[in-house]
Amino acid sequence: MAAAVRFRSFVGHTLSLAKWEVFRGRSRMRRRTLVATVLLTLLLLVPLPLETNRGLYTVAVRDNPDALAALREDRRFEIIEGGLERVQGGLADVAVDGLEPVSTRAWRSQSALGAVEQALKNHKLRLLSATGDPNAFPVEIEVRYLERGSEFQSLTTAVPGPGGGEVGEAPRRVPSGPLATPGAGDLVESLTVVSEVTTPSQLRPPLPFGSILLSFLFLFPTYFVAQFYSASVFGDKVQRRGEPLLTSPVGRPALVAGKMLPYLAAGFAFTAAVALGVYGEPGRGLAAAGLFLPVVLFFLASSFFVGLLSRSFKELTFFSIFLATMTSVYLFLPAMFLDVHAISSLSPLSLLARLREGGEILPGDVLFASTPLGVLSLSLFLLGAHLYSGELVFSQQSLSSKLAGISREWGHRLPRLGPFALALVLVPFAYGAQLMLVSLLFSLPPALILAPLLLIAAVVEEAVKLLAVAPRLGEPRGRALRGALLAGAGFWVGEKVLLLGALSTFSGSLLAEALYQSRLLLVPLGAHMLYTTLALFGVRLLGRRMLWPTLLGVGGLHAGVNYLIAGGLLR
Amino acid sequence: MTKGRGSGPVWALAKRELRGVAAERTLVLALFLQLFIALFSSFLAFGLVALYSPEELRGIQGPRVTVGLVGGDPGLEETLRAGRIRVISYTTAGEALRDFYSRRLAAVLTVAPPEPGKPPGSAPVELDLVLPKNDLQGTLALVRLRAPLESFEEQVRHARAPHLPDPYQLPEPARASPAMFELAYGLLLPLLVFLPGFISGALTIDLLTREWEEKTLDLLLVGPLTLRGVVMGKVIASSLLVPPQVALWLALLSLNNITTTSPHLLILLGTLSGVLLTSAAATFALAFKERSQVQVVYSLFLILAFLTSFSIAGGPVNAATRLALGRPAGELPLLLGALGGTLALLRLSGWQSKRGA
Repeated sequence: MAAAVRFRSFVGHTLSLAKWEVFRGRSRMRRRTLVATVLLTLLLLVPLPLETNRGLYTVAVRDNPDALAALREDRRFEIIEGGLERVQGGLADVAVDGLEPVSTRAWRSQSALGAVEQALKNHKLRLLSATGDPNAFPVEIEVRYLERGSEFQSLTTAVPGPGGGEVGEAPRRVPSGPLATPGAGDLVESLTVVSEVTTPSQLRPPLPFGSILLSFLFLFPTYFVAQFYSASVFGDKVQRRGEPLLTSPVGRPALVAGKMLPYLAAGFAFTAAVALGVYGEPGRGLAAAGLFLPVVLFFLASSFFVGLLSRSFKELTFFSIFLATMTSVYLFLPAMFLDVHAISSLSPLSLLARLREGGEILPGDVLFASTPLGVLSLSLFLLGAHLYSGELVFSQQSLSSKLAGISREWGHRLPRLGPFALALVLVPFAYGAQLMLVSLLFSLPPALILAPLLLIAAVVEEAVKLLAVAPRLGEPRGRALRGALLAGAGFWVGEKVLLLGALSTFSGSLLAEALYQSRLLLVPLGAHMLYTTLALFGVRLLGRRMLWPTLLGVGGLHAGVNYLIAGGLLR
Repeated sequence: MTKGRGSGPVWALAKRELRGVAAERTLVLALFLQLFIALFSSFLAFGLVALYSPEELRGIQGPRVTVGLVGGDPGLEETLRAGRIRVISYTTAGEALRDFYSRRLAAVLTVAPPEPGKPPGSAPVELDLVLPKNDLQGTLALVRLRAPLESFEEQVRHARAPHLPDPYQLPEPARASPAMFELAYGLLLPLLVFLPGFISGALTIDLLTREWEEKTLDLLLVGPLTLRGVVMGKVIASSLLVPPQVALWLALLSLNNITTTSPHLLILLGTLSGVLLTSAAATFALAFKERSQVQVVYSLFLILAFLTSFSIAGGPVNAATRLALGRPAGELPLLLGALGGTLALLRLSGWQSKRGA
């Protein structure tokens, strides 16, 4: 009963605060800005020709009308008269001297030669299709894609072993029965997902690049809405509008939710409008806007946090651009591997692209794409709400002391379990940073980046745990030790909870495997506690100046152990 | 005493702003941001190249592709083997598919038997290619199969229709595909030359709007400065940040083997466009006043400007590319034009007459 009353008053407060935010906002949006925004947006829709790489290569041509005609069709070439001597004199990158191509070993020259080859081939294809001859393209290929089971397949698992066979690949999902019989063609037909007929020169990987670029359209309005939101949060701070609100009977959650609601609604409305334009039908448009909602929420959550943390407009601008860039990276990188590698499902943009291509979207995909963003947003709002108190928000303290302030705040509220709870809430950030690292680097050779990756990941984790026990830095030894143990335990629990949801799906790339398997199986709870204790007492003994060196040292130890374990696993 | 004569106060203001930037470590943030954008774009490029032509990265992704061939054609089999593909022949599609499902094969290629009753050579050769869905192995197989299949097509074409045009082709295939080079010089380098200017524009907006949002403009105007002087001071402060950043990026690029022939001209190009952008940003700030509104208009303007400069032959992006490669074509007029445009903007924007807030 009491809970229901409290909930009703929460909703009431939230709505009235939302209304307040909207009316204040409307009076401030100038007509001039609207006109300029609409005008610039319309100008952006004008299609433009691409003129990239014009005149990138200089080619010398002599006595070869075929090559001359071909190169003239390609804007990348600046054509000069001459041959071998032009390349020797450094005036041309490459030459076609009669029938003889001339190049040097320089990267530039080799690339130019490759470009010449492309131009010649395109020229030939154009000539052939102009003839209209039935034998101009005498080979037709029908490409079909078959589902081979949902296991992620990293490159390395298919590398032929020393004996020439495959390493450790037992048959996994051999459909039994009809496949072995001559009637298999029908089954292939029924399992086919994508199928197209093409010629050899048109064979391309199935990248729906257009669809992915189109999702940029969704990001723009979201970015702008987020910018207004963070400006409003920051404005409350500068113009001291926030203080009277904090003293009112409205609870902090309602305060935060009410302020956010109009922007969330605006973000949803804008994306729905864009989606309607892109998909052309209300049903799919709404579905797309819904799939995109976690992204909008995350943008708002990070803007909220940034608005609270920054001390000046400059910082606000840089933090928000930085976060927008990071978020775009997080969204675009996996989406690039749509239909190529299952890591793509990490990004909601992949789902949008699939929706446009008419592919099916499973509930599991939606969950997988939305959970990380949703959990991160929730944590950011939670942390931000705690930051939303007078002395912290309205002060001009430095970033790190504000973060320490959040930590102190948690310590006051939960005198016993503060470090545990805070470490638990902070896990998504460490996890998010690691996801970013993995998605940024997963296609580089593992041998090269494994060590730095593990080191950065470990330092991030240690920093997060140390932040969680920061308030106990100056307290008696016993309490500090208990705090370190609690922070280690909190982090461990959070990690395990996340792993339950994520590991089952996110294990494709080798690095992720190394990162997660090592912890899941072998690095126990105790290690986390030990590292945090070392870090905390290291800083106590060495002083705060040695904070980063200490973190680096403990992170190095942590990473070293992980590396040994991962190395053992990989071999 | 006439206000606005003499540049002393303007410089003093510019210096104060620069000190503020240094104190807040804004510059560090800005550099970090740009590094991130560069990393992002080069990763995007790298990823695309890796997907479209893994041959570029041969050292990294070396596994040979194993393909099952059903209903084989000796010519095709030989061509595939010549293209460094392991071929296993099968008599029925079922056997091949079973090995496909057990992941022994990356792809299954089936040659359709010629239709009975038709004379050979009248209908196209029909191939059926089965690839795994959602799997890098499949993409790799597809990309590796392209060249051998093209040369098979060439053989068939030559045998059936020798009269078709056959223009000059290189006697030996080129060893490198130009994709990486074009991404480095066509996209990454121009991006890094212009990014500092983009960011300085955003900085100018913050420096200016702060004065009226915190109501400090009047205090400044009480002194020897006019509004024009205030704007000039801020534009100068933000513009001064551009050249060292461009120089830094060029140095970092050359560490990565992306060398430039005339770095000084590139720095000049980046600086001039930076001045142009900061001036435009200042004009927006005066016109729209409220920070987030100005930033929205500026961001849209920036996107528009960047996209447009990609579509102008000899435009800024192209100019940066060609200057870097030491083959400028009429870039000098462009540079002078940019300078002229900037000065005109500085003179005509009417900063003097307008009062803030």
